[in-house]
Amino acid sequence: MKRVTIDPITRLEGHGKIEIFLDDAGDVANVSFQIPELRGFEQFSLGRHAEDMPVITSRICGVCPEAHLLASVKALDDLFLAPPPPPARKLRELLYMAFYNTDHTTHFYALGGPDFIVGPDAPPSERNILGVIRKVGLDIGKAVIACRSRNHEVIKQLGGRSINPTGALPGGWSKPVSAETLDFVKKTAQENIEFALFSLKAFDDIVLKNKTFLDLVLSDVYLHQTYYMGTVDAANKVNFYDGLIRVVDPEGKEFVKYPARDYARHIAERVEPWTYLKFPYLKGVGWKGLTDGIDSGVYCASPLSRLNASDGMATPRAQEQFDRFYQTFGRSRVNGRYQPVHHRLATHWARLIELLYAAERMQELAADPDLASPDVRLVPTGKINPAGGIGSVEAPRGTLTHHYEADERGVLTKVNLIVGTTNNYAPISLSIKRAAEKLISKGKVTEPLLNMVEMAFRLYDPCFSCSTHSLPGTMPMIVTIRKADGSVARTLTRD
Amino acid sequence: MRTVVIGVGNPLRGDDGVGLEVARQVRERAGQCPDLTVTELCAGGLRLMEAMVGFDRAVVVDAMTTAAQPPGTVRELDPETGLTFPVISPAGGPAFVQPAGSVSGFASSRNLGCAHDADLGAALALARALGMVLPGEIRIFGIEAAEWESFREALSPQVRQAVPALVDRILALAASEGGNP
Repeated sequence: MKRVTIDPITRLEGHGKIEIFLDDAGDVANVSFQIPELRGFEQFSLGRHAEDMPVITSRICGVCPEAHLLASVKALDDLFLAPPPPPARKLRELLYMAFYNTDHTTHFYALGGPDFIVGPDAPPSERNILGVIRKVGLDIGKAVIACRSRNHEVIKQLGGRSINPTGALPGGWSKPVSAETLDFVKKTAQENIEFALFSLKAFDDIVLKNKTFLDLVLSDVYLHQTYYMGTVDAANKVNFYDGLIRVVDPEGKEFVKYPARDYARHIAERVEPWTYLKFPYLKGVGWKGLTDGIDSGVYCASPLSRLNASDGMATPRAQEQFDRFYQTFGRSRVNGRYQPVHHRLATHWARLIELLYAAERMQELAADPDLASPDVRLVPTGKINPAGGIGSVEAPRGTLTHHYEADERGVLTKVNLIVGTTNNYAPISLSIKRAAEKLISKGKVTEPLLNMVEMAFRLYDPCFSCSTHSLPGTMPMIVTIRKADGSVARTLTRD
Repeated sequence: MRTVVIGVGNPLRGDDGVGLEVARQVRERAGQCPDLTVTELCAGGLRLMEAMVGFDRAVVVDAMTTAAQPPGTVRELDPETGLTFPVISPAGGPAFVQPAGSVSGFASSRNLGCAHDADLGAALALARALGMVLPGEIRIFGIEAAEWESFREALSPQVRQAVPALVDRILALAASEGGNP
């Protein structure tokens, strides 16, 4: 196959750009995709005071500011050697559960919903949250808006303001929770649990009981046997806020488990000549190319991944759903844990199980007597950790890591961020490549290519919002199919 | 008439912060005004729609990236169709030219639509379908950006220069009783 150099000057203008490279026989040799990437964050941060980072990084992304806020403040706890007292950790986790309730709910009805409830072949004008509501009913639409509203209010009350909370300080939180807020949180948690259960039932009725959709979920188009990453607590149950990062192999055996601090020992980035994305992979396995299987270091980080990497959910009703999930896919238990589900469309179902957990966890935390405590801050002494500060959380879209190094004044000298979607560059490429291989042969393209490629993107829910203005109801995408000599065979555009 | 002015953007990404700057200046210059609320948002779609609920009039300001007009050009966009009307040209040409109706391709430049959210058009349609009370008047202003793909806190000069006149325009609008001044 001839090497094709991608012109780095090419403007993307808000489109995801995919290049499919054919070999001499006209079959798919390789695939590259490009999400518009932001430049210069590290340079922008250097020379700033480290304690400004929660506020700065929560403005990287309009969709998940809370994820960056918490990863950042955890990195500061580490950098300033100020572990927060338990009431503060629980307060932060409580805020995070409210965020997960809004994010996972909105995601299901605005993204997963259009793919299943409306269907991938529906007209673009229907493939959005409005199309979903038209199909499932206005009352559900109102419930989605109400869910967002009550959880945003919780975040505002706990965090000091909405969207970009201000309470995060190294060593804890700026203020304890009031009794009134706690009452409101308890009420919200109950409503969240009910709506999560409802959404799971809706998924059951609309997707699992519909043979066409079920076949799609079970099909081998988006079936990849990779390693799976997620954060787990001391009992190896899913936790979004804190724990160890665990990776299991495609057969479900634990491969490695490490604290966030050690991420660079286990993850490396691969540079390939035909794309300027760098692919994270597991050092312990090695890079074997864009391929899955136990010998390939490609790993995935997503709701499905998190469930696969864990031994279960830490709350009872979510655990029931977890068992049902694995049993539905016919997965058996080996050494006390389920073997992974590899069908990537199941990510949408996994997300709803996480939603239920986030609601139950919120209820648990709200009932914790620790939250009445005013002891929410350990004030740093001013000593800076010479090894730097590293903090990670599970962002909805994958494990998010912030790494800061600072001088003795607390001024930043190095910043590295690995955002959720970055973990998934290789699996996304794999899914696109698989779809392309099925639909292109001997240089001929069969038509649903754009739809299939789009579904590959959508199930990973890559976070574009920090990169571009332009995303209408469909995902704008340009797919360029290149012949072995590099010339363009065909361009498919979705606008 | 209760008006909300919503500046949308990202303060870390150069000209993508212009909507926020306009909102800030509107807030400073408006002073105490009981019928005027000013909001700054870093997200569009559903959040933007939710920020409008309960007001009689909403004015939204954001950067735009057509790459087809000089940076600093201000246009007004129709929230339904995206048709744009030149408002002020950066060369200092006629101000507030009445609708000329050139198609902008709003379908490919909806502000901060998101793959796991909704674009503004869908969010507004959803609100109407659910019987939420949206403003009777929604005005959208876009300012053509020069640079937004790197992390910077400053606006580029051409974009910064466009801000005061737009702030004037919005304050006049907010003070009016409705219609199209």
